[in-house]
Amino acid sequence: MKAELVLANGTVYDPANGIAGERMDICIREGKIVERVSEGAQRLDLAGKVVMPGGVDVHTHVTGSKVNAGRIMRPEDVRSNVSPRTPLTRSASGFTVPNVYQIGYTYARMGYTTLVEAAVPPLKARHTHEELSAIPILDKASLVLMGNNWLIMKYLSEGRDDLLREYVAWLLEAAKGYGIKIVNPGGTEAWGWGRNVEGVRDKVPHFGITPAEIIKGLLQANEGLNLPTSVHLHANRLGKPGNYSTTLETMELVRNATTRMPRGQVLHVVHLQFHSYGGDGWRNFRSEADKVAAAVNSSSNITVDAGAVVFGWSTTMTADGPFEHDLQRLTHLKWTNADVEAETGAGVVPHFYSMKNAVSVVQWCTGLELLLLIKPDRIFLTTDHPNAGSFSKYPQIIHLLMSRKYRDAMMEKLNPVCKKSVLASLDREYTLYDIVKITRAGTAKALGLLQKGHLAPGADADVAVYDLKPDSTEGLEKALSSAHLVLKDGTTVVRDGRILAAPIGRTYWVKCPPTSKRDEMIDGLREHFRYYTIQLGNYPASEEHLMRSSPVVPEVSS
Amino acid sequence: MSIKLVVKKVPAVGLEADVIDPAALGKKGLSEIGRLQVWAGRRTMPLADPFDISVQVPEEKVEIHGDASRVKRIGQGMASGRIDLFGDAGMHLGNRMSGGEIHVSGSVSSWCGCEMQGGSITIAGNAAHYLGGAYRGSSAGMQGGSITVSGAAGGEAGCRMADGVITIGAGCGDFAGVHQKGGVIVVHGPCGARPGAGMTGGQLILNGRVESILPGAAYLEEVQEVEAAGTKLKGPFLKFKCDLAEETQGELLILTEPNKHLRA
Repeated sequence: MKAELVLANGTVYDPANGIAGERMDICIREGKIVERVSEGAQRLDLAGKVVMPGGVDVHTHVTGSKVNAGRIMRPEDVRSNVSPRTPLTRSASGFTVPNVYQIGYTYARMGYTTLVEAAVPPLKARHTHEELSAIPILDKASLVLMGNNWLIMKYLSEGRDDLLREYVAWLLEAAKGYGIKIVNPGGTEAWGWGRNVEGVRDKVPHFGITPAEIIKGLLQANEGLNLPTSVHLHANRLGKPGNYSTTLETMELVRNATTRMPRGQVLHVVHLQFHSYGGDGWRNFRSEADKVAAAVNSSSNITVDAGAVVFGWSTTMTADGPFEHDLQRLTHLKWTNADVEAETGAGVVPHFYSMKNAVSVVQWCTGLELLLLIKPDRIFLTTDHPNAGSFSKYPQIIHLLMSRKYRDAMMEKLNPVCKKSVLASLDREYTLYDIVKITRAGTAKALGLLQKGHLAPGADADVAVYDLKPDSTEGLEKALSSAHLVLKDGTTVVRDGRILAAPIGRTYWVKCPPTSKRDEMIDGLREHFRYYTIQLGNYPASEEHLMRSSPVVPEVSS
Repeated sequence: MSIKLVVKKVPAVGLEADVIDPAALGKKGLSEIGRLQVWAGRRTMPLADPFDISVQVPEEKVEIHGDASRVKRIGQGMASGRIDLFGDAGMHLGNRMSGGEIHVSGSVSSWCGCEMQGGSITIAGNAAHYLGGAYRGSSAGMQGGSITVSGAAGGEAGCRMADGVITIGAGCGDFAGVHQKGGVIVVHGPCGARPGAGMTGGQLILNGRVESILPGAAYLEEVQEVEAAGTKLKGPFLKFKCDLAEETQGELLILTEPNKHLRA
């Protein structure tokens, strides 16, 4: 895209640069935001329109073996939301487990231009990247599951931090991953023995280490390697009544940890809603969002995402195998369980969040409470798609955050348990400035994607323009679901909700330079591969699997 | 407005003709109906290509003449009006319909009346598999309305049926009423293997010869007659609770006379 373009007279929201609803021009040249363009540049008059950076989804599950397991077990979902192909677009279908085209087009229509696939087992990375590459328009990155990896737990139990760091570096390159993901540390491994861990101090079977040691060890490796994003953690005891104490204890583990990286945080706690419950059973199940929110607000080195619930069908899917087993025992719906050899596991269970069900309503309240109580540069908007609901419902959540009146109207339809919630007493309403923080500026910064989430010169020309009034929520959901204009790298990909172009997005991954420990680590790896069904040489996903590879090389610490 | 469609030539790959809905067509003019796009494989074509279309008397009705056995999804999701098919019909006839009537003088292919919620379908000939059933993955098949087949039906008739009535005149294939949850299925004539497998509710009435039933069918008693959807059927019938592999309230009723071998 060599043409020059000026997005003129729009009302711009760019919190990363302190711009809150100023009428100004945004200049674009060769796919980047620039200071100025030549006089002959094309001008698009966006008077009365809202301009913001393209959305960056920090946590979503859209590709890989567990998503495909969901698609296979939920053909009824794939039959919904169908649109036939056109000369430009492929046929799209699905709601909670949409096909790759639906994912790309829906995100793009909503003004999102980057997503992060939040859980990739290294063994399944090759397939995941083939799917990621097939998602049109958006830039992508993926997080590699490491919290139950045998070799990582072996190095931790032996105190070999040097080999652990080298292995993490190798694993990220092998899986073409962008960051470290920990899911129920030690718990998924315990599930292989029909057990779980019940807190950060429980011992993991066979390895004799604790979830706390896994979290701290991988956090140390993450910062030692100067990775662009922090460790992303799905804490222990997801979804269980009373789990907020485990969440607080987990956050306390990293209280004194620091980073040299511009992101600021050392830990990103994912889908916090599922980890903020009180009570000791389903009968007194309640939200403890206020306590968890206070802990997040008082920790300057932690960010979180909401995992906010949307009513209706979802398809829960996670590497937290024991949680999915427990969920299936509760609901008796379909269940897939998977063991991914020596590194992780997974489960998939459909779930319906009912407006009349007290537990569902408490979960819904919890997500919104967290979003309203935590500072908006520390919490980000997610539904942990498709676990708490479809990403396509983000506009509805934004509406709820921006309008107390809408929240009150919604609560009238719900199980009366919501009337006793903290949410019922919260008056706070988000501004568009806050919304940009939780959907773009904050997420891009937390991910270390410094060229995303803002509109200063040098940023990628990923821009979303909406036909909405900043001081009104009238027509908000429609406007946010169907952007007036979306630019990806300066190319117009959406106009008035219609897809105009479907370019191939980048895949970001981290390529850490090897150190002197590489040979020793590889020797250990050969031994480790005695327990795999494939050979070491066939394990890594090659760069050829990425349609548009974009490696990030971290700075080497002295 | 009554619309008459006469089949000219249907592509070999079949036609996805879900636009054939009496209420929707009734609001359009002749030329507009002719321009409606239907899918044939990966291409679309105007409805006027495979059909001669004419508009007749004022009534919310569609008549289809000729061999429509490769025309799929006729009456899909229709809520009112009437479709008369003078000949055979293709797959997915009347699926997810919520009202109105469909009458077929010939036979119909598979998935007829799947997940329908209301209305009626009558078929003078035979029906193939999955009559009034559920699509793969769905929790409920037919949820209301009625399907009457004068001839025979194929396998898995009434799969996951939750409500409504299916009447089959001349026997059916295997797995009749599989995972049935409610409603009534009446089969006159011979029935295939494993009727009522996994059923948890409703009535499955077999008014003909059955070679064997599953061990999950527990004999309760013999009843002299059965009332099914307002009609009394003279027995006696062997009454079973079925299928004990599930937590069930399902009733399997089998005509005693040709099935004395099942009493033991």
